[in-house]
Amino acid sequence: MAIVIDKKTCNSCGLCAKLCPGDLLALNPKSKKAFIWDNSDCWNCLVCVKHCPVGAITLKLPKSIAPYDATLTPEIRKDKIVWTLIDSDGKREKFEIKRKAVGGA
Amino acid sequence: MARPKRKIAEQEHIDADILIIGGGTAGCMAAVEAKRLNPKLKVVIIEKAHIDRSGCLAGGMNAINVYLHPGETPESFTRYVRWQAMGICREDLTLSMIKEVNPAVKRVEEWGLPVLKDEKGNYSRRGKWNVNINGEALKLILAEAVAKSKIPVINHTVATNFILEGNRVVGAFGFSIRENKFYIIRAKATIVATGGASGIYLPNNPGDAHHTMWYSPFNTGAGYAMGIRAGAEMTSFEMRFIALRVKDIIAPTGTLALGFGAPQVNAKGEQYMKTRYAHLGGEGAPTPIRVYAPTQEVKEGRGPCYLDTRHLSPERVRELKASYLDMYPQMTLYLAANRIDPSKQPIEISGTEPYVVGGHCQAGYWVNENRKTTLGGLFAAGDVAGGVPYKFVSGCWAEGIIAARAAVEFAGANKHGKIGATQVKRELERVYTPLLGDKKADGGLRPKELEEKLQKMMDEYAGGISKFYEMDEKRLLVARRTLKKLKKQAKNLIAKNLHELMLVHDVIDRIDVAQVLVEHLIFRKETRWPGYQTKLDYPELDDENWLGFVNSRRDSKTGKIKIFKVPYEQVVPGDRYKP
Repeated sequence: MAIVIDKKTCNSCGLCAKLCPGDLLALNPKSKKAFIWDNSDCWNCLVCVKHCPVGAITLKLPKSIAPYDATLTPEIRKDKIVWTLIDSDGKREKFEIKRKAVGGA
Repeated sequence: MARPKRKIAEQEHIDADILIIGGGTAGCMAAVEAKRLNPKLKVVIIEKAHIDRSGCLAGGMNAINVYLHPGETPESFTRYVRWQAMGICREDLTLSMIKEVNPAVKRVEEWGLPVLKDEKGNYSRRGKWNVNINGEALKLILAEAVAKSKIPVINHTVATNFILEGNRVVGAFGFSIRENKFYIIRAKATIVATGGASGIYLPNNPGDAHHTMWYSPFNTGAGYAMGIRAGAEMTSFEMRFIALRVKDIIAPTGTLALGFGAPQVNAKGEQYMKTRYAHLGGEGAPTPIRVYAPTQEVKEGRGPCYLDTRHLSPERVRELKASYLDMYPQMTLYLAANRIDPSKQPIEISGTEPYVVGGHCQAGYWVNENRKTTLGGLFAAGDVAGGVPYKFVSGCWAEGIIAARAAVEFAGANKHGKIGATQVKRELERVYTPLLGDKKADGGLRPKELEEKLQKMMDEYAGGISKFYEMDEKRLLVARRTLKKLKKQAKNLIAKNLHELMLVHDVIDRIDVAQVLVEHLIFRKETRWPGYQTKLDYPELDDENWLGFVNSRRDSKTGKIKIFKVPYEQVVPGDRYKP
């Protein structure tokens, strides 16, 4: 497992397919929803997660290296990035880090 | 099996003054600099993914690792790099690079990179040569600078080979992975900046986690392979890079060791760097030793090994997690998903698969001070260029600047070359033959199958992780023979779609790189870099016979690799084995 795409939330903008450094994502020609060619090829870089405008993508590390569920959610704001980390015991931590206001894409 | 007919790709011809292959760290800076020097030039970037988030910087960076702080000089830096690289580096290239680094960092800061400052307003230091940054958006910042310079970028396009006129590169071929389009790009000067190669060896993790690795798994050695096929001289492939990383998640350890003062300890709690490796510098020993040491500890029954973080306060642990978010956020998730509290539990470490990369070691094109390769009209910058084993991000910028200057001059003094029709036809065939179209490819050799075969073989016969990175001539000769076979088998590769066609060319390129690598490993009959290049049959360092570079050139007609020594030139005086 690498990324999970919530098909209901996906708004078919195609940004993830455009930006994935490994060309691993595409839009299904029929449903227009994002999919990953091969989950095992994911680099876990979080680029798609950061740029998804509707928060439809979650990173799940491969179970072979990370057995418990935890989530890390980035949110790009104007001049900072806000990260929410929820560990496998449900403990929540927030991090705000300075960042140039550059939209990209 | 008869191959079904496929649609012939549309040909797109582009003329550029300067073509830059690879829109990464070095390529972006080279493009901006070329345009700054001469705004009239048409500079074009061809990029395998999308320039906003491609390559090594996709996830960001939390430090600049080469910078001359007050009190240091180009000479002191060169002495340091030479010692780090066990007495061998291209001192002329190291000196010319470091002189460009500080202005390059300043420039990127002006583009918007947040650089951390101390109370006095100086750059905040992390270790001797490092600067702390908030670089989550570093790649976006570089891409924005390219866009502001109005430089066209051909995204999602894989460069496949140089276009040659005699011994001069007059452009490059590439194919789109988005549409059925083949690019024929003519250029007066070309800068290759594609990065290094991962995936030559079996990686740390199997199956679903096989791309859970540090170096970009999408840097597949294309730039090396193109140069090898065109007969460019290459250097030092035998100095493989094996990084010391957090086990399993393969996260960088500089943040832990330099940023948070974590020493290496073995299972007995011994700080072995301070005891067994004191004579080489202890915790601060050269990088190859810092990965060789824990490998030996494990091999000799004193593993696992760790970076000891148990001195960290809860506040510092929080800073540690935040620090990774700017560069390798999956590490922060890894800690949370494994219930690891670094203040209570040390972080286990391991070596990575061996990478071929000129920014951390010195494998790459043999270049002169202007980053000109041995082929006419071709310049190299960044991880694909050889000779400077301590380049990292800011050194790649510096090389981009140097290569751009030389390319601008060359483009000003030379006309476009001619492109032979036979060359185009041959490359079209080579690129598209594996593409069979959807649902027709069942039963052929898929790129992943050949990739796995290559990686397993290299692991076993050319010193991979499972062999503690050790090798000997007998096994290397098996690797040489097997690579010949794999090269033949590659002719049976098939792809169902353009994405898979890219994977086909990735593995073809990796085999070409592996062949040169194995020849270099066979040729150097000493152990210069323990860990990176441990030769069981030649265990000692031998300056009398091997102080110098191992270079190679593949004959583009016969395919035979010629390999030879190039003498060492010491520029900066002093003991080569002292920093």
